Amino acid sequence: MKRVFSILMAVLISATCLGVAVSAENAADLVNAKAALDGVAKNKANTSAVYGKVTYNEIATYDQYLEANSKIANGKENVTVLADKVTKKTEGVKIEKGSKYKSNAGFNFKQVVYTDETDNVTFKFNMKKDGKYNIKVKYFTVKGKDINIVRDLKINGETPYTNVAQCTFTRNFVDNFVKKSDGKLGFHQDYLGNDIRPDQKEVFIWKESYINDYLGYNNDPLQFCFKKGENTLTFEAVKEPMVIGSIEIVPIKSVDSYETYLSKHKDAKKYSGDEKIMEAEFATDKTDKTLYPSADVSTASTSTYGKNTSAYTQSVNMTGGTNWQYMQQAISWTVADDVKPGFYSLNFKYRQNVNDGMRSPRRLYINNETPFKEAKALEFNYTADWAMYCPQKANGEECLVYLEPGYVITLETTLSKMGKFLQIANETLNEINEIYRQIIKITGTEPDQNRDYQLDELIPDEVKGLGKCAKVLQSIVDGIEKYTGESSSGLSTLNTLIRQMTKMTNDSDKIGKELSYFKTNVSSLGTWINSASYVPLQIDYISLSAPNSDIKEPEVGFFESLGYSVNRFISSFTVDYNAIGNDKAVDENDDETITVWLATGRDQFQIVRQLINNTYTAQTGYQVNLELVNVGAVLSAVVAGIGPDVVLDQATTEPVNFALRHAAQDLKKFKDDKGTAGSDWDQSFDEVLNRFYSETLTPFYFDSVGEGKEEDTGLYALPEKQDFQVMFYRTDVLAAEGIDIPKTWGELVTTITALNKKNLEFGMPVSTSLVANNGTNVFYSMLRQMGGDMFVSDKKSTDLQTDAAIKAFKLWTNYYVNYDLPLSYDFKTRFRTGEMPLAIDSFTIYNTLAVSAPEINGRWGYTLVPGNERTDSNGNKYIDHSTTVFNNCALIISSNNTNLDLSWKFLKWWTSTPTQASFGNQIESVLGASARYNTANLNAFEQLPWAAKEKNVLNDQLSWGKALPQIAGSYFIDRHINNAFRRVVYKDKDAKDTLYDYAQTINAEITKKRQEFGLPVLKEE
Amino acid sequence: MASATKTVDLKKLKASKKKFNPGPARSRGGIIANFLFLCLVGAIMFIPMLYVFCNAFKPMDELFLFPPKLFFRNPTLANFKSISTLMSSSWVPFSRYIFNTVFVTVVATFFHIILASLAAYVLEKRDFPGKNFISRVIVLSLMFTPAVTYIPNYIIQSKLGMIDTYWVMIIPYVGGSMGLYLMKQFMASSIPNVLLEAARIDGASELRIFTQIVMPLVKPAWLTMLMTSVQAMWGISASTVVFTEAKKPLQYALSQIAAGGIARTGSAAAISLIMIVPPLLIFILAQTQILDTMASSGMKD
Amino acid sequence: MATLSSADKKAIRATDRKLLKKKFQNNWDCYLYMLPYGLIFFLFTVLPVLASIVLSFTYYNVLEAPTFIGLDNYRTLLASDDIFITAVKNTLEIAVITGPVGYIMCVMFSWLINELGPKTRAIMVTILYAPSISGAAYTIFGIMFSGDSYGWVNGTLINLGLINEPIQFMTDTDYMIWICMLVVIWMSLGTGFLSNVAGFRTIDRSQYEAGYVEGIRNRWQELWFITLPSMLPQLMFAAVMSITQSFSVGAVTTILFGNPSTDYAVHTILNHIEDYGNVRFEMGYACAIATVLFALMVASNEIIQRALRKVGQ
Repeated sequence: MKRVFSILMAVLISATCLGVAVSAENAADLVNAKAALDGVAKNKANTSAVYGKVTYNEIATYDQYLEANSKIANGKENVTVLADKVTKKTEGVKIEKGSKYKSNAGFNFKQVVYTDETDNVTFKFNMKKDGKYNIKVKYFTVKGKDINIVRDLKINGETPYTNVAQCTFTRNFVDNFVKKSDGKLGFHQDYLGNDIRPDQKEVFIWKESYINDYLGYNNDPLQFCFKKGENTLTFEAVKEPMVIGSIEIVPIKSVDSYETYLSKHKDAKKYSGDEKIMEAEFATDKTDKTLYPSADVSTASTSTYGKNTSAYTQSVNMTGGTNWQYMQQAISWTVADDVKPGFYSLNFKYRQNVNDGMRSPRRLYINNETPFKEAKALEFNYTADWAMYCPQKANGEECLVYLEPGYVITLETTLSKMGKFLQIANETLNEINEIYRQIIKITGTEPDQNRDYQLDELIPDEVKGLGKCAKVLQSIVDGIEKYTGESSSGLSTLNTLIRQMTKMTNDSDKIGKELSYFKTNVSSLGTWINSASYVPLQIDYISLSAPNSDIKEPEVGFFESLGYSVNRFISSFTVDYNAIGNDKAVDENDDETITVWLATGRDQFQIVRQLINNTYTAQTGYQVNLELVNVGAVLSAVVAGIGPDVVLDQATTEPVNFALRHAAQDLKKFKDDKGTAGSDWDQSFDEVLNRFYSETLTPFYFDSVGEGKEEDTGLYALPEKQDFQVMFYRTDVLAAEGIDIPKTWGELVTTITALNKKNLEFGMPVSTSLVANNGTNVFYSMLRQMGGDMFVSDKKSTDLQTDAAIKAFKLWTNYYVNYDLPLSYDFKTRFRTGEMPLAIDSFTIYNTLAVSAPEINGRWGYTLVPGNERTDSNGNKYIDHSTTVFNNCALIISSNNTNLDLSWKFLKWWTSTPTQASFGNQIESVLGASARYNTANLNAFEQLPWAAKEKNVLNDQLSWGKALPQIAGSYFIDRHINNAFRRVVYKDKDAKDTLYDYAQTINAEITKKRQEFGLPVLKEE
Repeated sequence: MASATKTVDLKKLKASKKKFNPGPARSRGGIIANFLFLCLVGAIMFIPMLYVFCNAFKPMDELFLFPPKLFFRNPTLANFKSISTLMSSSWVPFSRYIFNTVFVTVVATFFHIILASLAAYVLEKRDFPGKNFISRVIVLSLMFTPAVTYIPNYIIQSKLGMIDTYWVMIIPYVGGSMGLYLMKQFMASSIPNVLLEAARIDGASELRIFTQIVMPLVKPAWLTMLMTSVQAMWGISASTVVFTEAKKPLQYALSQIAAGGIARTGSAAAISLIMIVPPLLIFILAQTQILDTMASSGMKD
Repeated sequence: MATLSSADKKAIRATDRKLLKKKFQNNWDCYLYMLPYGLIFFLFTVLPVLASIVLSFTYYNVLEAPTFIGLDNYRTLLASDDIFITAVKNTLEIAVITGPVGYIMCVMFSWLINELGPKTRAIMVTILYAPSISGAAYTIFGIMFSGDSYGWVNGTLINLGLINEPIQFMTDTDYMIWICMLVVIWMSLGTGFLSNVAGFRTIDRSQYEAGYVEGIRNRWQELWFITLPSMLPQLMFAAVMSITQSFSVGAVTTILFGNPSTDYAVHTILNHIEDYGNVRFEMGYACAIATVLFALMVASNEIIQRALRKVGQ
């Protein structure tokens, strides 16, 4: 009866799969890989990281801006600003001839303005009178990284309000359909009749869009106030290049009512024929690469080519889902030619089974125009199964839509009325947080239960403020309940906070008693705001039918769905999942199917399976048997001779372990592989190595002879994910307390003493029983900063007796002995409350903070870890910010592997930019921002939604990255560095002697292991 | 003399039988103290189970709290729902994983009960050379922890070509020694040899004796074996011996959801509860049978 | 007893052999009935142990064929491997304390439960038996004893003012062994406990009445003279179970304290086997440790069985 704890082990192992690596003189230089980073200038002088004084100024919200300018009337003028009005521009900006970009109707300009992804451009124009206007921009999408174009807008030199910090301009993508024999559109199919999901192609066109609220809180285009005379308008690039045709200052126009819409088409007659179905998977275009159609296998009711879904083949039969849940995402469909002009009853067959009790509203456009007021928000409710919805008035009366062949129907994500509630909730949350910070200034974060802090005398308006905020939140709850019609489970978070704040405001000494509960309730409010702004929705088809005629039932009957699940069950015995995507059957004997093992989770497995079928097998015809296994399974399977050909997501310790025992394949065997010309993944050996930062390859080199010579050193894996440490800081808390961000370890000491005075603290990662390499990473970073290293050049022993090593070890343990940094802490909780406004941690924590602590968005950032002052060869001083970079990896198992070349081809495909980028985007659309993928492929990293400001800091810190090489006996490094640390910190032993003792133990084990494998051993001097 | 005092006490004892009297040597205070003490110990022992139960219903933001609160404040079924949406979008239908676990459990339990009972019957009721040696080896194997011989076991299974098939989950369990030991002890105490001798004289073959006489008599024992093997097989993960997606048992498939990362902490909490509830439920239902068999589990030799 | 001449001895052996042959003849069908179960039992329980013993005489790095090296593994293991010595010390320390304590708890609680009415008894048995089938619920101890000043235990101690900075229960060698024992005891009410509960119920009431007549007045005398002797078989079975459990402590320490723990403070023999088998890939050496562990368990089981036979004399 084996005790089953694989669940907890699986979670723990996947969280700690970034094993430690041991470094020596960097063997990577042996391979003449190109300069370390393609896109990053390695200049040590200027770095975009923030240092010294920190300033934090509150920016007005949209409501405050409108209130302040309520006197200004809506302007009547209509001003078009063209390329000739550019006054200031950075060097990347170019004024080009309009003809350079393919122009279509209404978009031909003599001159246009090209701005790169780091440029700012300012336009000057005059207004006759003060007035409030909307802004419409005509722009052309140029080749970039396939993500939305983002600009920071400034009016007359300063930011009007927060909602314009990231004005978003969308791109245009189309599916790569196949023209079927009967002239209709279809999908590429494999020999079994399974559809291959079409890949997305970007089409570069002119587009026109209002400047909208990127958060989605306001449904109407944003309003801006311009004064009489000269005004300037500046676009500062945040992401992606953009070509600006014209900027129009237009009067504010509201959408006309349904009655006016009917009057505009009063001579059109109502359609009377039978129901016409437009399958949603055949979209004309979309604004996002991730809005691809997909195959739904969960029910027979999804309409596939007009029929019910078959249980034995996978067909692309719907679009949308969790990938269609963010703001500014729109999908459009074109009305077919055989549709007679007239008024139609427009019904969407939709499903939203993710957010219970929440709505997923969409804004309807016909030919890029919202036809009538009710079309501003189609309120798609929560449904477990498929259901029909049509545009309708508040009282449920259906609104008909006038359509003609060639009309374009577009659905765009919107928050509808929820947006207003979320905006107020967000502002109230900031107020509550401000009040909380005033409270803990007096009571500290752990108030003494039986002390009366007289808060109502000391901070009376804060106490009253709690009551005010409670009332505002109550108005939000009532509004939402009226809007959604029933109280969703999410609202209980708001109700608990309202009850608590009302109690606190009436009796102020309750504040001290319930502060910890208050802290949790406030953070739950933040998480609720975050989750309420996702609006996922699936669309099966659009039905055009004669007004009030009955339409097709969205769900199939009971027996049909029972039959479907039985067939599905039987299909699991007959369908060969590996063959999906292959256009020819594979005969058994020359079987070139390779087995690939993946050791992560089920979400990742399903995405990789899809990627292989739709791209790798579809392009190369080679099949891949992908299997999701437990981390522990690899070793025993290789032993029993039934191991895989390629293993993904392995710890950094595995390549050398397998290489030592001749079970891993030396990738240098493919040194002169030239790849196929023009392919974006099947590249040459050197191009493959250049995908990564050269330092990250260090742990995968292994010198089989042991004398440190280049020709004996093989490369046994390619990096997959990448992690390193950065320093997080809370701008608002440091600004309020007047504490500077330290640049060197010396300055850090003064910062810590300043923090302790205000009972705040600094945090540095410490090894725990579950994550053994935290401590080693911090120590190794300091060691490299001091110019030392873990191993001697030929790696026969550790190099921990040098004074650089002793200085680094003393520096590290000193922070815990003399400045008693916390030995165990939950960084996210303490950073959120502000107790720990400055700490070093892995940069991937960025994702979890962005999701679990929305209430501090915009109030924190990260910079390089503290450095050490050094003088380089020609005498000038610089600061070395080295940090440990560690990667998990993918490797080829050589023992009884008959398809080595195919394994290498698959490895090249898996680590290529397109594959890593689309995997990163898809995993984030399924698991959310907390799963943002930290790929080691530098170009793919650029394509993932890391905001630009952070990327420069990340690339700067990465340029300092140092990796630990792996050697025989590396497993002793973690355990004994931790033992040494704990002996010095817990038992106050002397640092120098402790380091010496444990270095000897490690050296003994290294020698023993090298003897075991016949490697030359350190000669005893 | 002894008998006289005996009669007097019997009358007193009969009188005491009627009202609740737990036996001659118990004071009322002792019973209440005992009950309270047991409740206290029960509460302490049960906190971790309660923690796992409450975690499954906590929304994500409460799961991320540190220090975690024991009880949930805004319970939600979102964790269970996220499991069902993920499972419904996978090619291998959820029904197949359930079928794998049920198939493996039924086959393993059936063969385990039949073969182990047959071996126990022969070991207990028949005398043949080598019998004592085998019994002692079986008792020794009770002390045996599989974690110790994991790699040799794996090599034997792969040499027999069982890896990545249903058999690797079924056959090793059929050879389990705990079931055999319990059955052997139960047969010893509840099947009189004279009954078997009579049947043999009437000319009944061994198999007929085994099936018609012995098995019906040892009903509680093989019910216990049924319960323990269902408990074991329900939780079987076979995570290092089964690789093809369509052959994975339910527990293995669910545990891989939890490995998806931080975003799946909610599903992981729900899965932990799903894993614990069935064995607990089975134990509660079958407690009486299990305790009957356990009564005879003592070591005579 | 007169010494037997060699001829008589040969005769006795002959008759024994004849008797044995006869016994074979009329019981040959037993082997047939034993065959299916026996074969599987041998293949998947006995053979791995034998293979492990054989492998313990080889150098086997898991990925290449094993090479025979005689007693080297045992020599290094017993002579120069001081981590193994600490592992044995830790395992014995845990076994010696949690074994008896867990065992006494098994007996005591089953005895106390016996007093309750049938309904409450069933609930109480479930509650006390639940931890041992609860899979990985013991990870809560990791949260309870977290080194963070907000951890449950540290938090309460700081609030009560007993300590001013958090104790690192999980990484400070002074505290780790006690936390480990606490967890093992928490999980010790397993199959042995069930057999005791059942055992108590088989003693029929009349024995107590007879005891009352012979002058047994209080609860403790009753326990020692009536209850325990009649429950001897269950006690011995529970003893086997608790030995197995305390010797095979491994998963608990890996999950809570990491493998290896600080300065090997809670490093058990099973952890040592995993360290050599799965981390250092020295499988031959790991099999040697496993064989020594198995021998240790069998020996300690014999000693305890003999001691238990004296109960009630």
